Amino acid sequence: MDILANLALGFSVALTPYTLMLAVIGCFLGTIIGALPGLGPSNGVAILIPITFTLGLDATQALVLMTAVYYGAMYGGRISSILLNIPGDEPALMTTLDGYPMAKAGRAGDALVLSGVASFVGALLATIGLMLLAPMLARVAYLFGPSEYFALYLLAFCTLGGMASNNQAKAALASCIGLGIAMIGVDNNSGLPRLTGGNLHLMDGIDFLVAIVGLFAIAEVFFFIESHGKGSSIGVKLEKVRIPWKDIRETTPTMLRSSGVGFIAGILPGAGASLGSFLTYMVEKSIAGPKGGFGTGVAKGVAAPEAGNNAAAGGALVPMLTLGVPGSGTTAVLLALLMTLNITPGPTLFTDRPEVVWGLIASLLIANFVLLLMNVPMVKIFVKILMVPAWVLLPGVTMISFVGIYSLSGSYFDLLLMIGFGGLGYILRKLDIPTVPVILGILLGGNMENALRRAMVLSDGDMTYLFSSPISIGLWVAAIAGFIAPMFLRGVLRKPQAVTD
Amino acid sequence: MIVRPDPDPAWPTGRTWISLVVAVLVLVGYAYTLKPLGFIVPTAIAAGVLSYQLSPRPVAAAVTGVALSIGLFVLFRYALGLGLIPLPKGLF
Repeated sequence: MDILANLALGFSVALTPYTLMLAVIGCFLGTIIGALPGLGPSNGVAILIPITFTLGLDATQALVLMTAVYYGAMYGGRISSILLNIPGDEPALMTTLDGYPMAKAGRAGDALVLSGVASFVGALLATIGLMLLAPMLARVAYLFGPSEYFALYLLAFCTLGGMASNNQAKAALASCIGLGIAMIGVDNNSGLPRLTGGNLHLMDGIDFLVAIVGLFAIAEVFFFIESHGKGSSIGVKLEKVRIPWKDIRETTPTMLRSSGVGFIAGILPGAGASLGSFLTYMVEKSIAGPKGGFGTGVAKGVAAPEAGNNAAAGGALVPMLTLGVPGSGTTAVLLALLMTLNITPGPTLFTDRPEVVWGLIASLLIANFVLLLMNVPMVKIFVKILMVPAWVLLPGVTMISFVGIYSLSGSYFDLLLMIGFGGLGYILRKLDIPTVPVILGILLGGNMENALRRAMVLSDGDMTYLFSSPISIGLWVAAIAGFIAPMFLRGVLRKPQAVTD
Repeated sequence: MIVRPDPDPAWPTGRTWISLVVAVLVLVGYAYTLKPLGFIVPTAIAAGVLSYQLSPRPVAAAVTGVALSIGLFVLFRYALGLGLIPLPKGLF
């Protein structure tokens, strides 16, 4: 059994006391980050990357810490959904639909425990799925040449743009902005500076961490200033927390089904956890029928999206690790982390650096159990943290972002760039242009260009080479379908709005 | 986008614009002063102003600024071991 041997290797890496400690810290931080409205998994991970980098952790440790934060944030998102009716992050939106009514009916504790267990089931099954599927996909990925990679990157842009936004043209525009930003700096092949405007600071290109922290974290601060930090008071009371065994038993099939659906949604490049929770909620709603009472605070309506979004979070790691193509905004940020640590994700990661991959998988398993322990008995602590007012939290987040970026390069220019990206992110989000394709463009732009150039060198400049293999044709078809199909499905798959009081 | 534009977003008006511009200016100023003036003073000012923008209570904002600045400095310097300069050189 290959997998068992690999897992043994993984656990030998993950069970060292230091790594274990990092996993626990990551889980704790992640849950807080997920729970606080306005700090989702993507900004949370983005803010912490520069700090991990300056701490001098090695690749495995940094990855363990960050993925623990990532999983933790997925768990934590439910807390504010249920108690405040404000999703702590985007995927947790569906949890508000039944979680908040349930909390208002005096069952806040039940809802929190149930969603914690559902998160655990989803994440655990997804991690097992990742373990089984990723090595297989990594073997397939060996067949990929430059033209296939080019098509694959295109697929990521198309599906992410298609699914994540409400308007195809805006998503395409966002991708192009990102690709344009990726071009800034000295061209690797010719050595000529591109789009630098003669500015020496721009010769190195733009560090994607600066862009990510600016677009996610700083833009969020501007949003809070606009809304004057309103709407973060706990509206429901949390009494004694008991474990609702009956609900857990009754929703077990729902959790299992939702984990499956969520995992598949997560694997699709670009779809990510939001789609996962959305699909699972819809599936369960249609299985339950009109008598199921979805939307009025039923246990299944809480369990389904939570199992779904956590499973999707695990699923999204599959394309990220095997192909180097992120499946969601947050995995895009994790990809940035890998690139900062000088690890190239892709099939070779599994053969060259098995200790990284399997250490990561083993710590995900451990993180899951830690998170279950933290989130069920200790949920009250996190509820306390939710009471930190926005006017303390947001300046704190800003200062941490500044210090993080400043400690990376020690240059004020990066800080100015970060503020600039914050402004850009604010304007883009105001115009309803998604920012995740911009990030993806900045991250993948260089690789995509290199793949295209290599393909052109191999084929002597023949464009048809890009469509020459069955794999690449399949990817092109999937890319076009992924971009166009959501336009027609939009009428069917309308996102339900959060319940209002 | 041109053929079938989405409804226009609700742009902020008047005072909110001013506080956004102030926030950007404060952050830009912070970026420039972080190196020459050390960590504590610019951070306290920037965090205080941001806090005031979010909730207009001067005393609470000032306390937040100072507390955040010192708290973060201790965290970064001693818990995480980053080499931050606390105060401008040559002052003491």
